[in-house]
Amino acid sequence: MSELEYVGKSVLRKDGPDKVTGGAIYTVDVHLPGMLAGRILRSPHPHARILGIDTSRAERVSGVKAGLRAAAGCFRSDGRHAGRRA
Amino acid sequence: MKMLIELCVNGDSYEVAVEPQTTLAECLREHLGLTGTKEACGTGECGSCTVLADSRPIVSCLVLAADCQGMEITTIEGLAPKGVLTALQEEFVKRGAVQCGFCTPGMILSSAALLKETSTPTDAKIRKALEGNLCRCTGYNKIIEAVRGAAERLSGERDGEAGQ
Repeated sequence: MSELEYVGKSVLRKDGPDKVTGGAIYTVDVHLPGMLAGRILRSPHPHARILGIDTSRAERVSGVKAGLRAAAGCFRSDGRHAGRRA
Repeated sequence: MKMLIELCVNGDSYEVAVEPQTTLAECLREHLGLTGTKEACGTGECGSCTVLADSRPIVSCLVLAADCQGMEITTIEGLAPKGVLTALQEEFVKRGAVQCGFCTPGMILSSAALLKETSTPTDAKIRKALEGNLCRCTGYNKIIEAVRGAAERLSGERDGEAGQ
């Protein structure tokens, strides 16, 4: 039987040097032109029923482009409805 | 309102316009593009944003950039600037102390501060030095082995020099 190349041997991980020098790029390190940043608002109460979310103040914050709600669709800062999700 | 501050990072001088509330982590990552410094919790609990300030480890998410003027800041990018890994970095790779790698810069900088203080740390001292750095991959044993391995190499080198 021909000798196995990797099995039974200690193999250095390929991304090791990048990760110990800070060179490894993670998604959070990526900036693309026109990229928007999102923020998730979670319920402070476990098992709570969400009866409504008032997004009007968030909409008024300068630079806010859109708000997404899982249950009831989403809002955009220009007031147009931007789609619906189940 | 932005303010102009002067920072010394990895031996280079930078003039940066920051808000008074800009953290050092944000300044390093967003203003200087040094994304090797990782920010996870943003509340000083996880240690992934650890950098060295005058050789002492600090969590850069809790420190204001403006307060770091006049300090020598070292980030993970500054540890092996010429691309030649330090013994500590080599040991992390060799001993499987790196998995996802997100905690690694902080782990290595906290360890580097310890090894600068002593090249013969006990395991208790290593654990103490890393108590502020959380890792969710490795289970810590390999990280501690890597620091121990680096310490042995460094003290060996020192013994070698002393014997010459």
